[in-house]
Amino acid sequence: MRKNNTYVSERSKLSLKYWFDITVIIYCLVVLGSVVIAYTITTFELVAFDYDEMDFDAILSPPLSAGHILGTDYLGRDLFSRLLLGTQAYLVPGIMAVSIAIFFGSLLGGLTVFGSKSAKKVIKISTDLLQTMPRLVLLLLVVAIFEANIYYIMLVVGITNIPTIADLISRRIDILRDKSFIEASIANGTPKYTLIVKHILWYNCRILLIGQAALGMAEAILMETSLSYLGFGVQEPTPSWGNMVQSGTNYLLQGNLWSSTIPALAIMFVLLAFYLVSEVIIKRIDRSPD
Amino acid sequence: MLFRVSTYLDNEVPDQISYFSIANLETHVIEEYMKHFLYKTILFFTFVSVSATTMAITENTLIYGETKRPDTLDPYTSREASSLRLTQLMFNGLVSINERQEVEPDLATSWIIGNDKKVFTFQLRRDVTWHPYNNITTPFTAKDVVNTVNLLQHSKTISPLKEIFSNISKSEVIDDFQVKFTLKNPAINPIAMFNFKILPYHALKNIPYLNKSSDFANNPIGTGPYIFKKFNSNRQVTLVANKKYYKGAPNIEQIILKPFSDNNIMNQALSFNNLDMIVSVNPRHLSELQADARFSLISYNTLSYSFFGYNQNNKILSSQLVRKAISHGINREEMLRAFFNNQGTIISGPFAPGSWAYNLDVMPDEYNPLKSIALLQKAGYTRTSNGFLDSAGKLLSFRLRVPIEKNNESTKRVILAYKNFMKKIGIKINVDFIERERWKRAIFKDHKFDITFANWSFDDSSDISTLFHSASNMAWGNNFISYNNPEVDKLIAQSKISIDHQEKRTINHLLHKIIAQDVPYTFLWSLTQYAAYTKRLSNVNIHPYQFFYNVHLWKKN
Amino acid sequence: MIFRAGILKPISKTLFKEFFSSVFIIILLSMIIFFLVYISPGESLLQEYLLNLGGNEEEFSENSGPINIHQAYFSWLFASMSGNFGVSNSNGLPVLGQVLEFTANTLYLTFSALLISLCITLPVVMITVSNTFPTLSRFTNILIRLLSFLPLFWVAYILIYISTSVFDYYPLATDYEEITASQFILPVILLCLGSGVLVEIVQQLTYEIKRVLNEEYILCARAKGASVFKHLFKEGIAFPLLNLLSNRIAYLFGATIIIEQIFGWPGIGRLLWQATQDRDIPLLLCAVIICACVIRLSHFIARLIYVLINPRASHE
Repeated sequence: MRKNNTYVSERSKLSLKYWFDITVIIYCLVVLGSVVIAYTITTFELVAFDYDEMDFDAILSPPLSAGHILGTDYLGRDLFSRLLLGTQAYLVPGIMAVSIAIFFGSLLGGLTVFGSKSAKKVIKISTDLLQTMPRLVLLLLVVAIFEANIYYIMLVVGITNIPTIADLISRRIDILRDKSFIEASIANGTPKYTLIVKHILWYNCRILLIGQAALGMAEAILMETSLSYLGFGVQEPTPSWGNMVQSGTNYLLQGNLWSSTIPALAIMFVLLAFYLVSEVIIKRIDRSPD
Repeated sequence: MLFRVSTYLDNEVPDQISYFSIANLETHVIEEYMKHFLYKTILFFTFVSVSATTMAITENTLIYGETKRPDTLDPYTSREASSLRLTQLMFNGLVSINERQEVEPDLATSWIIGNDKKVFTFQLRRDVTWHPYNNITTPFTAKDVVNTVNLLQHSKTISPLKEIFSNISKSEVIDDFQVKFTLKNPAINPIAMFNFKILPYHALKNIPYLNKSSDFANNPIGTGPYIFKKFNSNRQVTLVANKKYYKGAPNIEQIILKPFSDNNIMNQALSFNNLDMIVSVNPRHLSELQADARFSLISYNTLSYSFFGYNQNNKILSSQLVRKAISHGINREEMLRAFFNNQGTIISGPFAPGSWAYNLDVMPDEYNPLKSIALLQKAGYTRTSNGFLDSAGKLLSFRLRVPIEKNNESTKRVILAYKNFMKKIGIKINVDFIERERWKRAIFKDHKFDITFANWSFDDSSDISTLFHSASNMAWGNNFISYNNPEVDKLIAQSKISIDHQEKRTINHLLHKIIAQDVPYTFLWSLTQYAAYTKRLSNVNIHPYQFFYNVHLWKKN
Repeated sequence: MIFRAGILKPISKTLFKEFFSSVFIIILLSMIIFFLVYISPGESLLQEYLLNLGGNEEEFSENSGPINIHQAYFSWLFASMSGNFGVSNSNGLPVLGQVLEFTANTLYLTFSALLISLCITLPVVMITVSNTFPTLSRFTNILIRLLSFLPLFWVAYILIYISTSVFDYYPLATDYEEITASQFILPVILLCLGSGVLVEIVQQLTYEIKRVLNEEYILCARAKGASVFKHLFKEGIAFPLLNLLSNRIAYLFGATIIIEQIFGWPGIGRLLWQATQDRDIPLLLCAVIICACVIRLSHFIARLIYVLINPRASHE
């Protein structure tokens, strides 16, 4: 992280910003909290939602119509319950993608602490590779070859995020090296494991990694949505927000706006929340003394 | 500053900046300096404007939209329907089939059938010329016909239509305008098989067989009403009128095939007059187009139907009672109404409803969930609140494998509705959407499925022998459901030998009845296809075998 | 400045280094793709393709057992190095020509997207940094950010819907050979949005410009009354932009898959999608490689310009 000369703002600005930050935090808590609640409700079936009950007489009905708070989709299924159920498609696979990226990324990045050239080279090559191959192309290939399964998609998203995180961590280490506590602890004979995991990752990178995790989740959702348009996202009858938007857009140009707009907005709000989480965390890093 | 230090990937956190805290670093100095800079740059960027060019599509052009890009442009090497449709504009056969399914003379004026119904002699037209090839027009002769047959009979030629030529044992040139064919076996309605498109000898004399990489495949020369002009990188094909067409010069000067990758966009293009015609309208756009006074919809029945096929290797599905129960559990009328605007016919058996072989006396299985439940109980399955249990005490469940098709929302609808209907009678369906090539392998080669959804389309011979005969139960065979019924086998064999139309009809009607009773498939419906075109087009006449039937008479105002 | 003595050495050094790393990356990539294609269940499509590449069918048919992967890979590599990528399974035309043509179409789209995104973002950045209209700049920033969170194809459909139903105007190209500016603008803007170029430029440039202007030596120079424009342009705009744009090319190529699907644009993204659909192995391999080459080339050029401006960078 680059160190910056931060200017202390005037008092009035500070208080305004303070309230702004509070609003942002509340927003994130509400959105992400409701995602988790939706996930819990649907997974443990606390409330019975009939998400694939079809009503052929109420196909593509608008929100607030009889019996359907958010209206119905192209098969007359209730959008609200499908929206809640859609969280299932992302939560566990998304966490999987993020943890793959963070685990291997921090491992690779952490190895650069010993000044070994090879770890840095691997990071550089894999970063280059990632920048050379459009990720969507890789996803398309993998999905066409194996299966249009959310776990495969998330695996690819996770793997392609490894170099990014490794790069971030190795840069962080470069900064930390200036503080020479790394050299000191190497000289002290601190075990490698303790050095990487405790001193570097836990004490110095955890906030950064949480921020990355939030962004990784956001990206995973966006990737699934893009693939859904190409027909290779999560497959029906399992609802995902991506395939809900996709099937809704088929009827959009005829004026049936709602069945695609609602999941699209849901995606937007959740992505915004993830983004803000990472943003708030970054701000904390800046304030905290290194 | 390192070059890579600010390498921001899309999910990397930019170090400090935040749009909510953008005022972070501001000082009076920056503001003043940047204001000055801003006014300069605004001036700089105002110059960026691209001049609009006008469209230059000549009047009297028919542009039609397809959802698939045509691959090759000759009549034989392609499997794409869009390619085959396009070749109807450029090629002719010896005979053609009109909308009443009758044979009409085309390149042949008359024919003589030998006594044993094996030898056919065709008199050819004398006034036909090929499209210009290297600026030379060559007349059409008997040599072209014979060469076409020889090319297609070559072992290395790859063509989905090759099957037609396997029955011809000999083709000879008698004189320039007379050809003689000898068949291996007598066929029913033999003249109809001579509607294959004729290829020019002079353009193909250097190659022994046809494949996709031959030059002809991308630069076709025919005798038809339109001459191939060019295709662009998007495989948008432009054809121009053949002024020397033997039936008379076409009224429309140019025909352009425009491929679209998104169905919705294609429909928009039609309503904004960027297209004149859509070959096949997606069911979801039907009501919209029907309401629009600017367009005509023309329906054509294709000889095809959709079905759910049941793998007979599955122990549970091999029981007729279970299959019958499933068939009674689906509300086909409801699905046809809700998803296809009632544009189709519900069928009861293995023949397309437009065909002579279809037995109208057999009624489709009606929707009756109570009957299904009773049938399942009769088959020995116990009913619980969750659904039916099989003998091992597990819930009755099947794997339904379907290919992913991006542009086919209606298939998805049918599958999901099917799943729901099955849920109601207590059978669990696990829907498994897989990529098309993998689906083909799983179904046709490995037979790894319980239930699948597919379509068959037929030519007018209504030959179902490969679908239900036990002999074609093999890898890549059409009897992928491993159906085995000796009675059906016997009837199919009889029907093949028979050359009497009436007798054949009776056999097929019986076949229909037996198969409908045995339910190896749940027969769904044959959908009505719609072509939509602007009312500026007139004289349009479409039928399933030949989309561009008598295209030279079409007019655009 | 460019023709300063001693510039040749860093340039040639960079050229050399970057060229070999690019070749290495592309070969590595081709291995990955080839491996993925090899393990795909495709009824020995790959074998058939390699067979056609060699052009001598008799030789292959003798030992028609499964070929192992390294053999297959090398025979493909050598053939493709000599420019022989084979012919397409679907339309029988040589793939290289098709791919190049489609790539050109995509580049047309991508570079317009880059240009347009500069036209959009630079004013936004200026407004933001100068704090002229704080409300406007904040609003634009939030709008751009929110739009980039929406599913790209949904935004495209909504824009088309608004255009057709509200303005009664068909915004899509009717003929790609004669395209009007108004029909071109929609896919290009969507491409900027979908690949994250807009968001990134606004964020990075705002940050970089502020950073540079806050450097002590700049403040010092300004206090003395010297012009800092040149330096600001170099450090605060040119370098970050160069960096950003070259890094974003891959994302642009990714986003074109969706944009080209919707708008029927005959570009590499659509070709790639079609090739995966048809299992057109020759086309797929060729398209991926050419795509990679183009992306590497743009990195290469960016690097070269960077070294030209700042020769010291060649040591890094």
